Amino acid sequence: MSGVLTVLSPTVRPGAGEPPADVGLANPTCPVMEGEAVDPEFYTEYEGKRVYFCCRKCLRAFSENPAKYAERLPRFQPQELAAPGEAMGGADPRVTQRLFATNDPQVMAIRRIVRLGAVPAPAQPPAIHGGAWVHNDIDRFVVGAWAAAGLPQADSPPPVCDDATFARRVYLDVIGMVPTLPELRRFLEDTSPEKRAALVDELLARHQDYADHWTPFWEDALGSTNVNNQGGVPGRGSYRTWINESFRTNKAFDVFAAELIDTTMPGAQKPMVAEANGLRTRTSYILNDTHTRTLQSAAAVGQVFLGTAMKCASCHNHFENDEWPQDRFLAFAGMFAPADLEAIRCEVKSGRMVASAYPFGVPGAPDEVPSDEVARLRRVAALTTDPANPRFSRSIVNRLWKRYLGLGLAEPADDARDSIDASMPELLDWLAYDLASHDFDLKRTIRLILTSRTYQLRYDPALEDHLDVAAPGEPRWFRSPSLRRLTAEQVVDSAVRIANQGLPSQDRLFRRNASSSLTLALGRPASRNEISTGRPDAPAVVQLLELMNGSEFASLIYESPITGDYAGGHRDIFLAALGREPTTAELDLAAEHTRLVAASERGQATEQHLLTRETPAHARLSGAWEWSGEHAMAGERRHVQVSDGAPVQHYVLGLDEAPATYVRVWVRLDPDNPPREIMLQVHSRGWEHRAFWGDDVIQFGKAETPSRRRLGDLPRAGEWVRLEVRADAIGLGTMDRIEGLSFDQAGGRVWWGAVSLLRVPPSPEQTARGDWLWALLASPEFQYVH
Amino acid sequence: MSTEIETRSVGSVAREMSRRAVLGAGLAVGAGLVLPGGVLGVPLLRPRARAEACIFIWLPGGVAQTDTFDPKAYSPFEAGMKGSELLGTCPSIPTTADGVRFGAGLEGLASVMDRGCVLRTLTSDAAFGAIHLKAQYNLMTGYLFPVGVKAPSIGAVVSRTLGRRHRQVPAYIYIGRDIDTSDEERTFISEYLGSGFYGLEHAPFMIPEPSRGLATLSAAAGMSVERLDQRQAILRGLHGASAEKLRDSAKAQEYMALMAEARAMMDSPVKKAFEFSDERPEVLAAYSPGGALGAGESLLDPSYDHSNRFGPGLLLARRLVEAGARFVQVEYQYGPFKGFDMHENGARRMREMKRQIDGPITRLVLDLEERGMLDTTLVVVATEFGRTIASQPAAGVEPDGAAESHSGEHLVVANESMYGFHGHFSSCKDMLFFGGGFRRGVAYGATADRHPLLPVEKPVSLIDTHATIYAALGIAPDTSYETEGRPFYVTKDGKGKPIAGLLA
Repeated sequence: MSGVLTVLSPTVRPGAGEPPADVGLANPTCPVMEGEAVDPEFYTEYEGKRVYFCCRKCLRAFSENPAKYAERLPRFQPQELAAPGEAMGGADPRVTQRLFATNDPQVMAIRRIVRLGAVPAPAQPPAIHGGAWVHNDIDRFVVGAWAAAGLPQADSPPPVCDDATFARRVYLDVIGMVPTLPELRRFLEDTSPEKRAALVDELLARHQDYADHWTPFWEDALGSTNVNNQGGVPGRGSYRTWINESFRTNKAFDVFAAELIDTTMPGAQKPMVAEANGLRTRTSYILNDTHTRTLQSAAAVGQVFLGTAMKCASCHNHFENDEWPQDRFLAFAGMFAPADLEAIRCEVKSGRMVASAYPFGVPGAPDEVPSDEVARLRRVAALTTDPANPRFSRSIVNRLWKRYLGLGLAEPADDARDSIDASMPELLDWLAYDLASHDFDLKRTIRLILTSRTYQLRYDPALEDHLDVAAPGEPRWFRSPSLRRLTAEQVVDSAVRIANQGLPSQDRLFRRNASSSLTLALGRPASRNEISTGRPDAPAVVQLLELMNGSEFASLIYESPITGDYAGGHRDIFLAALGREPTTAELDLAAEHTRLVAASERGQATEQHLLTRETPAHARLSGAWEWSGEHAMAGERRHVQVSDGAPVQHYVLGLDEAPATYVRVWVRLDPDNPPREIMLQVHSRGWEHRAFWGDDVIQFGKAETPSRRRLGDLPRAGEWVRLEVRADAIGLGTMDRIEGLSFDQAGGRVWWGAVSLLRVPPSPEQTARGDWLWALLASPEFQYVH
Repeated sequence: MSTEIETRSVGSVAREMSRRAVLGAGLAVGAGLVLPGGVLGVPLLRPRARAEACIFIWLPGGVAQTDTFDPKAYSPFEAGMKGSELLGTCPSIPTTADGVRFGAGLEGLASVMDRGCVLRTLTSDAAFGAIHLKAQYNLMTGYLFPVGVKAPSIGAVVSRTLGRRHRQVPAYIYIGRDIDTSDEERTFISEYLGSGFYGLEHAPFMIPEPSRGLATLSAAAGMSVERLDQRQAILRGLHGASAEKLRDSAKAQEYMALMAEARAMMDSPVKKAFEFSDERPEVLAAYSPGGALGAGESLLDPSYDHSNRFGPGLLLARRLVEAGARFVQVEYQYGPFKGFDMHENGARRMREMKRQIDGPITRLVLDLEERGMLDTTLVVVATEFGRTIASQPAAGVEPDGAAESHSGEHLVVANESMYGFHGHFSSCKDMLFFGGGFRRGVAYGATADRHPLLPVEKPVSLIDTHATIYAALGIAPDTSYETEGRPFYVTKDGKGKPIAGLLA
């Protein structure tokens, strides 16, 4: 037995952490495995099973001549060594101790193999008649369940969705965005019979896009916030980068979960000490500085990673779920605390301490509780992620199932109870075991699900499952996926990707800290001050008004290249938006609308003058406004500004003018005292819209960007000259209202004259294309994954 | 109040029977009780509704109760005076309610106090110390942050439980707060004024600037209504032509129905509420008093002046309720160390703030009364905590609980900027009610006349206060909605009990 561990020493990477002190060196007398030690890095498939070796030499020797070594192989295999009876009853306690002494990923890899031996292998999928229908084992379980229930679909399975629907579904599910036109066309034109599986692989290999789609889900689930302190309460801090990196590198899921709890692990995000309101507070996923925070941290782990809701048991026995008497929860929560917790029932202290204990039966795991905080967290991380923990693997595969099929096999996914029947429990167990026995590689399970025929079934409301919260144990058959609403991130990222036919990772919505009325209306939380594993997906009037009339959604559409410069035809726009070819009837809708718009929208340019005669009631003037009738037309006024060389400005705020195509300003420079530079700033949700003429003296914004755009030399002095700024040159879109103007100069004397906003309407064709795209993006066909 | 509960014919007789059976079995009533097969969110016993709408006036920052609704002895500034001697920065004035006095500067509210009810002893179990946001969260949701669940605000509870009054007018409307999540505080606030786990259906319609109305009720720039309707027609056409299976989906049908509802709301009476042109000039003037104390004077801090949003916001609230809104919250937008959050120059700043709120709230009460709406519209004026003298006058960093025991004996008010109520006082705050089934012309509870100004008579908890507001609106305090497989109550653990002494 001790041989299992001897492998540790030679394979611990530099810097990967201290190896356990008393682990011996591997016996050098291989092949094949005379040292009785295996290393999880060296394995091959033999007779459908994974077999492990201690080193490359042994692996090679075996591969060259399996027959020679096959007979002696079993006794070296971890599953064999730690076969159920032996591991639980007969395991050397010192081995168990060492296995649980650290969560170094190398050790976890070994522990995974050994501990899997404590798990009975799950039932194999049932044999299915007419197996051609089946893509993989998932389908065998599903069809088997249909047959057992006598459902007619067992004999005449429902059809799979068409290629276009599949592509859209899988793009949204794996990378969180719809395909671009070239991506879609390439897939649709591909004639290979394996193209669906190939697409799944291709998308799973887009590591950054894949991680970007997962990140907001886990930010919600972990309660990741971009601040360290909220409402005077220390928060968990931001896990955004860590989550993104973890998924980009496809970190083993048990390592991912363990690193949140055991921050001594090499890949963990280290706790931060932040100062707030004069108090130093520690920011980390597990907060255990007070009784309440410890309970909340423990409950979060229970809910998110073990799929059981125990918050109700914080103050009393759970009223509805008898799995959670209060003491059981306090014992669990104590594992996350420096010391055992006191029983506090409904805010009344009892003085009685509850001995900490891990409440989920993890067969063969050590059951004593370490006394110091670091060791406790290490232990609870190990027990929580143990392959033999009955809840951990099942919870995550159930979440994956729910993410891709719409409903979980077990519901509620956050509160699966023994008293509530799961649908197809054999499938759930099988998926859980499969994940644990493949290094908790989430991509493996995702691939299994997405390539199954079950996932690829056509959406059919007549067959779709529905969850009745009052009866979560009612069976779900998955004869059709459930309709799923796109998240705010999927809507916005897809809309941008459609508009520009591309979207770089750094521009994706999840990276934005601030919310807008659009992202709020689409259900993206402003703050993740509480954890959440699912967002409400029901539409609401406030949301649909935002899609209909909100300026942010409108600018995504009406300013997009696909309706403007790119000028995709109606067919292209349709294909880009909905991922399928339009029918003739659908194209007729666009053609008819284009005629209507051309007939009614005879747009003419208009010019609006500002400040020339009076100051609008809402406007607020700041800086030295020196009005002057000098060099002005009768009844009008100019403002004059003098600079001794240093930048000076005067400005107006509080305007609320409709967006413009051009901003124009008349200026007259003093020929006897000319400035070095003049600048016009426009305020539209901030001042980052600046144009200047002359030298680059005034250092606002960033040179050569819309925040500081040089438009030419200084105009000729001594006469009135009209300067014209194209709104888009300084980053003003067609939905950006004009809220303020600033008149800046360095040196000299300048008469600032009439300011005007020139509005040139888009062509009727462009307007009609925008309307077309809007209708496509606002349609249920876009708003749902179907 | 509990004696005044009437039985409603909500739910089936079977459920009524099952509840009786449970009660008969001697199980706990109220907190935590979930009926087998019962329908969450539809309590079987509902209080009789007195009000059908609510205007909730939210004055975050911590309004000093002794300068406003619970005046103590006026103690004019004297350099070197002791903190314990500072009990009021203004004289008190009589109100139209017998024996009820207010701080000077609230002459308007004093004149309508015979229609009002002031709660002077709203206590708190939690000491919030320096933390406004935690206290605001508590007041707005009834729960102490962090809860472990996204707790809904009062407006969302009302929206979910009572629904819309008018088919085309949103149930929960929020006026006077920017949609701005650019920093920690604003992010936090956006969450607690929202609908929490109830979802978007009960999220507030945000109207940051009353003068600009609800932006999304008008077509975007450059879009005519004719074109918008043509665009809607394409959408309907597309959906009609889309795959038959999707067309038949209940979810897609609901989506399209809500889209039609959203379009209809653009023509609804709510839109007319934004057109103030039919208001009399003196009414408009009453809602726009400005904050300066006199001609030629300007605000101490001119950069923080929301009087042009707050006053017109109240007018808009009234018009929205006339149009059919259920719950309208109007905020004097919170700014740390601004407005009611006074850590220096409290006396002067309080005069300025009172001037900004007194006229508009008074006019609102009179307007509602003139229109015969005061009986059915509850007006609430609330803040997150009271104030006291501060041990550290400028910063407000008293440790939790310090204010509660602070006598001011060792505090020296050395100069005029230290003269005012600059300390946070979790243990007592005031709340003001007009109409909507609340008693009229009364003050409820009494506080000490010397520091610390703790409640000495009839202290009231926040959950009971929430229960009273809900009761006036016909919402039972143990109404609950399910989340994460358990009930979540509109008052903490369903335990709030309406205060009979506040209700008429």
